[in-house]
Parts: sequence; C-alpha cells; structure tokens
Amino acid sequence: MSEAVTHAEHHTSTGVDNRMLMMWIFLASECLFFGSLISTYLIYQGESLVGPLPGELLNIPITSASTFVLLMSSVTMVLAVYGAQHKEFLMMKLNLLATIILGTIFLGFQVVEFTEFVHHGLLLSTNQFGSSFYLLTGLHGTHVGIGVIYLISLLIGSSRRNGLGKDAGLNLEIAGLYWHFVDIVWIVIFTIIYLIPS
Amino acid sequence: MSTEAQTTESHGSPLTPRDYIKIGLILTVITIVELIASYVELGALLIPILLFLSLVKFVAVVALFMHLKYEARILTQMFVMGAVLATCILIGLLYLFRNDPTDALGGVDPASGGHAARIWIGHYLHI
Amino acid sequence: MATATTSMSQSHQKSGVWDWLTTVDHKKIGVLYGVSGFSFLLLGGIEALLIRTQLAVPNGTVLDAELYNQLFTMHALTMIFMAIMPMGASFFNYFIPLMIGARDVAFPRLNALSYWIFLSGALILTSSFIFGGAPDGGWFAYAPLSSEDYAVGRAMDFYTVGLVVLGLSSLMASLNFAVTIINMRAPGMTMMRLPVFMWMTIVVNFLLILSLPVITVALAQLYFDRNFATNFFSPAQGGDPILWQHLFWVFGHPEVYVLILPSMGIISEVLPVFSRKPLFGYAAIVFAGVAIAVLGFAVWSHHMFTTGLDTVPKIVFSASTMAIGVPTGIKIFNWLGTMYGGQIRFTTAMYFSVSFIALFTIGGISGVMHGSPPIDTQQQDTYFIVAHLHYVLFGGAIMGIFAGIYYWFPKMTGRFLNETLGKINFWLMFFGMNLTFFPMHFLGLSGMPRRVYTYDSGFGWDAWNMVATIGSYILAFGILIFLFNFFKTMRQEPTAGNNPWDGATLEWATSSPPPEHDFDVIPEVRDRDPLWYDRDNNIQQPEPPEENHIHLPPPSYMPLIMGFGVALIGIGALSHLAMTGLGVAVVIYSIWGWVLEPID
Repeated sequence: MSEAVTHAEHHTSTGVDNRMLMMWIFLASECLFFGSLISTYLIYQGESLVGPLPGELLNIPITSASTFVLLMSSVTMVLAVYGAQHKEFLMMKLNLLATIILGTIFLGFQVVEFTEFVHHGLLLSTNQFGSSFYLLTGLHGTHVGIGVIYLISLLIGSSRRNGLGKDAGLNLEIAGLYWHFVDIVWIVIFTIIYLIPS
Repeated sequence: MSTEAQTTESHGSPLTPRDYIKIGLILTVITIVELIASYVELGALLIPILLFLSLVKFVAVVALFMHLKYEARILTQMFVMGAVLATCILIGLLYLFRNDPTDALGGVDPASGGHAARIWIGHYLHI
Repeated sequence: MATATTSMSQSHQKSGVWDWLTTVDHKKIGVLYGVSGFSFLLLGGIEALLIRTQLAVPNGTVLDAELYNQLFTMHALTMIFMAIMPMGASFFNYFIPLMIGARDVAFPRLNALSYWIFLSGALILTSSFIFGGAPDGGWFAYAPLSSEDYAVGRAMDFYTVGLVVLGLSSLMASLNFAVTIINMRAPGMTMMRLPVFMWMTIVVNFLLILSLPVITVALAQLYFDRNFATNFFSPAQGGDPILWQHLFWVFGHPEVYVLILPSMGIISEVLPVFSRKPLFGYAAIVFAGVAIAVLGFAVWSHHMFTTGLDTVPKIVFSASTMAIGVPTGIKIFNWLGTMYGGQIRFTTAMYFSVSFIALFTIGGISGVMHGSPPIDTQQQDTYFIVAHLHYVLFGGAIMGIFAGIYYWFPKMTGRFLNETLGKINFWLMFFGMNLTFFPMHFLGLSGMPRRVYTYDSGFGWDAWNMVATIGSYILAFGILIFLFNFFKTMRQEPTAGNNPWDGATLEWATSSPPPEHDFDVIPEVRDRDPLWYDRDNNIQQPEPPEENHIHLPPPSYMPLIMGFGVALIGIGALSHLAMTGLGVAVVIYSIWGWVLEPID
C-alpha cells in the first residue's frame, strides 16, 4: 500500500491515468449494484405464488445465441481498443461499428424475449419471478443501451478531422472496460438465471 | 495471479488480435460446454460445474480483455474489492433468507414453490 | 485549444453570482457545500425543536400525529443526507487538494456536477413539504409503512427519488475524491504519510462507493412497488418486507460510519496541533479506521435482531458488532495518548475535539450494549436508541465538524472566529446536548417508545421530557451564538497568517485564504508532519519562479446544466414522463457540451 511513491516521470502518483482508475472503481461499485439485483432474484426464486414460472418461459437456446452475440461484441471491442492503441484507425472504426451492431442485436434479442414473456402473461406485477427478472435483466439491458450510445458517440467523435485526438487509445480502453463489464455481468446472469435449473 | 512473468510496468497488453480471437473462441467453447452441461443429467455436480465455468469466463474477460493482468496492481485491488464484497454480501443474504425462522410462521406457502434458491445454495454451503 | 493561464498577479478572488454558478474551483465548491449543509443543519434543527416542543409536556398539542411523523422522518433525512454528509463533503472538497499538495481534485467539473446534483436532490426532497406532505415512514422507510396501502400520496416517492438523486451526487463525489487521494499526491506524499483526515476521507468515500449501489437497488424496487405494481416488499403477493430491511441496512450501517469517520479524521488533525505533539500511533489509527470500514459491512443485521433472525446469524452479527469496539477503542486511546504529555492549548477547536472523545465514547458504549441481542430486544424502538445515536451523531459527528470549522476557519477566510464567543458557543452546545440526550437513556429504559407523537402523564416520563426540551433550546441558542460569531468575524480584517496554529499539514503552507491555484510551488513532502519537519530542519520551501504560469481549468456552466437535467429527470419521476424525457435530453446535450468543451 505504501509502495506508491511518486515518481517525477509519472503524471500521477500511481502511474495510472485518473480516468482509468475512476472507471475501475466505478466498476467495483457496479459489482454491488448487480450483486444486489442478483441477490434479490435468487432470494425470490421459488417464491412466486402464481405462474408463469421460469421453467415454463426461459428459452435457453435463444438466450445462448444472444449470449454468444454479446461475447463476440467483447472480441470486436477489444480489437477496436487494439486498433486505437496501435494507431490503426480503420481497424478501430470497423470493430467499433461491429460492436455497436452486436450490442444492438443483443438488445433486439432482449426486446423479443420480453415481448414473448408478456404474451405468455408474465408482467412486472404478475409474480416474484416477473418483478425480479424484469428488474435485473432490464437494468442490465439499460447498461447495454448506455454502452451502445457511448460507443456511437466515440464512433462519431472518431470521424471528426482530429479523430479522438492523442487520447484515442485511452478513450477506447475506458469505453472497453465498461463494455466488457456489462458482458461479464451477463455471463453471471446467464449462468444463474438461465442455466441453473430453478 | 501472474504465473508468467508478464507483470511489466508498461501499459497495454502484449496480446495480438490473433490472441484475442483465440480467447474469444475458447470463451465460445466454454459457453457451448455450459449449454450441454445444463442438458445432461449431472445431478449435484451440475451447479458447481456451471459456476466454475462462468467464473473461468469472468476471470478471462477481466484479466485479458480488460487487461487487468497487465495493468498496475492498484486497479486489480480496486476491482477485486468490489467483486469480493458483492459476492460476500450475496452469500450472506442468501444464508440469512435460507435460515429465516419467520418463514415457519406461515408467511410463505410452501406448496407454492418452496425455497429453491435457498435450498440449492444451502446445500452447497452445508447449512 | 483555449487555455486558462493564471499568473500570480491574477489570482484575485472573483465572487459574482455567475462565477459561483460556473466555478470548478474545489475551494469554492467546498464553500457551496458548507453553506448549503449548514443551512440544512438549521432546517433540521428547527424540525427537531418542533418535535421537542411537542414532547415537552404530556398530551402536547403543538403538532398533530401526521405532521409529527413527517417531521421526525425529515429531521433524520435532513441531518444525515443534507447536513452532515455535505458538511463532510465541504471539508473533503476544500482540504483534499490542500492536504495532499495538489492544485485541484482529479475531475473539477465532475466535482461541480456533484454539488449541483446534491442541491437538486435536497430541494426535491425538501419540497415535499409543500407538495402534499413530506415522507412520514421514518428515514428507514420500512415496508409496509412505505407501501401504497399505508403511504398514500406522493410522499414516499419523494423519498425514493430524492435519495436516488442525492446518492448519485455522493457516488460522483466519492469517485472523484478517491481518485484524487490515490493519484494526485504531491511528491513524497506516500500513503503512509497522508494526514489521518485524508485516510478517513478515503475510507468514507470507499464506504459510499460500495454501499450506495445497494440502496439504489432497494429504492428502485420500492419505487417500482409503488408505481409499477411489482411485489418486492408486499407479502400478500409473495414478497418479503424483510428484504428491504436487509438491503437498507447493508447500506445503512456503512452510512453510519460515513457520518462519523470524517469527524474522527478532523479531531486527529486538531489534537496533535493543539497538543504540540505528533499523533500518537499513526499507523494504528489508520488501520483502525480501515478495520472499522471493513467490519462495517459485516454488521448490518444488528439493526434487525427483533425481526426473527436465526440463532447463528444473531451470534455472528452480535460478535462482529462488538468487534468494532476494538478498533474504535484503539482510536480513543491514541487520541488520549496524543494529548498525554503534550503542551495543550485550549482553543475552541480543542474544546470541541476533547468533547468529541468523551461524548463519542458514551455513544459507543451504549452501541456495544445493544450489540447484544437480548439487550437490543429490550431497547429496540425506545428512546435509549435515540440517546445512543445522538451521542454518536451529535456528540460525535457534529462536535467534530464544529472542531473543524473553528480549526480551519482562519485557513478558509484568513480570519479567526472569536475565541470567547467560541467558548460560549461550545459550552452552550455541550450542556444543551447532554441535557437533551442524556435523559433519553432514562426515558428509554423506562419504556418510552420512539416515534410516538405524544404520551400520557403518569409513566414517569414527564420530568425527563421537559429537561430534554429545555436542553434542546439551550443547544439551539449555542448554534445562534455560532452564527453571530460567524457574521461578526466576517466583518473583520483578515489577520491570520499562513500558519496561525503552527499546524503540521500542507494546507498551512499556503496563504490564508489560499490562492486559486492553491500552491505557488507544489511542496515536497519529507515526513508525516511535513511542516514540522521542515521547521525543525530549517528547510525552506523553494521560492516560486518569476514567471509562474499555472494552468487551471476554466469555469464551466455544463455541470450546472447537467445538474438541472438530473433534477428534471427526478421531477419527471414524480410527475409526468414528458418531464423525464426533457431531463434526459438536457443531460445528453450537456454531456456533449461537456466532452467538446476545451479544458486545457
């Protein structure tokens, strides 16, 4: 803890960029956000007084496809970061675009899933499964949506004359951190809600 | 964590696009294994296997895609702090609800589903 | 890109309204937090006085039950979220950069945004009084008191929306402060040379960062229960009101340390300076603070012993609660050890600090008492708890904040608060506070429940209630003396030099009040008490160069606009969706403006 003596050549005391440090601390905070939502889901598992219950609705093959899409978006995201850090801006832009498209497809899957569930009679207010499922996956979807807007902003910014400037690599890296985090939250949600039988 | 001597001070990771695609493929394979596992009758082993596989994916993305393996230690400390605390609170809450004597007072109708989550978590915690 | 270059001669203090609205200077934002926090302290104090007036005699008729419920709820919310926390944030803002030797916080505009969002949240929550009644379900808002069936109208929605907005502000500020302390330290300022106040600051901010998301989720669930017919907390549909209590206290207990640790940090600065001795057991006091924070996340269910916990959880939470007494005791002995053998100067700041130790110890001991489930079962919801928490939060947090005000006032304004008036202020507050809260121990032990708006004669509660009410008026008079002292002092000439108390930490190395750029030359730190080390070893700080161009971030109105957008989103959540849409549009506009604004 006390090893972090400031070096003159470093801009900051730890040598880590302020924005990068803040994003990681923010993600630590987000862990507790999703941790609370997942706790609620698990606590209310099996507490629904009326149907439909998860076993009747959850479609594992389709969700596996959407999980795969989000996983691939993480690959394209990391390639976009690589492109930005190695000044290969075409690679960056193409992968950024691919990430945005994959993220949007994931959201599309979620819209289809929610619509399907509503058709089968599962509303927010139907039972404990409805309340906790929609709140958890809905807030995750909101995070994906914000991530898509974030990446679109970067894509627009990178097509300006100066591109993203000298901080392009850092900007992409930080956006990537957020994007990958949303992905790993989905990894947990996919396992806990979908794969583990209730 | 760093078995290979990769903890250089320099920023950015030594991974190439080929590496990233390989990692992506491995993650996909793990997902497929998870999917198959959830359809096979594994009994009591199923949940530990699924949790382990998703933990592998989680750590792989954090360490390699998010470059935590190659960054300053302070970032790992920050993130692990949040992740570990969230896990502890999750386990604590599930334990508390598993051992909630008020349920025995008739607040929840056991015929309507019981306590699935509490039972499986409780089973593995030996509580 | 535009640059804002401030040379030495340009650092005059601007203070027009526009300047305050657009400032990104951590010192000005600190002043904004301080003034707002103190105003809410006065408001919360008036609420408390009304409560005490109602309870002065049996069957009081000053307030009716409905208004009484609103007042005790808002008293707690006001004091916790709008008075003590922002006054803590005020000191964090003002002194983090000064004490670690930086020119500003890591993200100056984010800092301004935190303030404007805080103000929005505070105004939304307080405005509930004029829009159909304030929240009346207690600050803990236990289900089903907070459900649609029992809390008709918008009052509890003001609670959820107001607290989410305030939480957002705290989260942004905490991220900013944590990054600043970790990353912006002056050369030589290692973590183990940080002033203890800085250590307590970083602990507080991590507590907030890790606990706020939990309450945010709980508040979202409550909001959904009330507005979208979910059933998180309604048992009739399979929900569990106890889940609210768990989530609330997972946040709520760390929050208690968020309120007290800043004051512990402040007195850890004041005691060594006025004892003319380095802090006794620096490392122990730092690790004790960290230990309190870690344990603070493992004790939440001790607020819920009477909800029917099983035996094992009761034992675990009881043990972890009592374990917190150990690091707290370490701190108390360290403070006493600091004073022992020192050449003590009894200034007003020192009075407040010493009284902190005594009063906090009383509150701490009664806290350990109800760490024991059987005793807690007896004391739950009685005035004994009210006595305990006020000894900790008034005797602890507020006394510490006053110590900080008297200690740092010369640094912030260049003027000394009058010491004679200060001591009158102190003794009135000290006697008033003990007269108000000590009898509540007796009231609680003789069975008087909390949160009742009146009581019958004949239970033996009459005399002590009258004493408590008299005490609260003495206390309020003490605060008035402080206000008089403040306005009197502000009309005097600034006479305090750079380091009037012979302080040891870096904020005393610069002028009083500090220039906009804080330090002419960023100081080099060679010791835990850098100024004393330099004094004893005859080390002069280097002279500033003739041409000293220091880049400071230019003022920005984007934080103000974004804060306004967040306020609109909050108001929309209480009125109409269109308002929320407008708020989102304003926020998106201001994010773009923010990003594209030239800053260096």
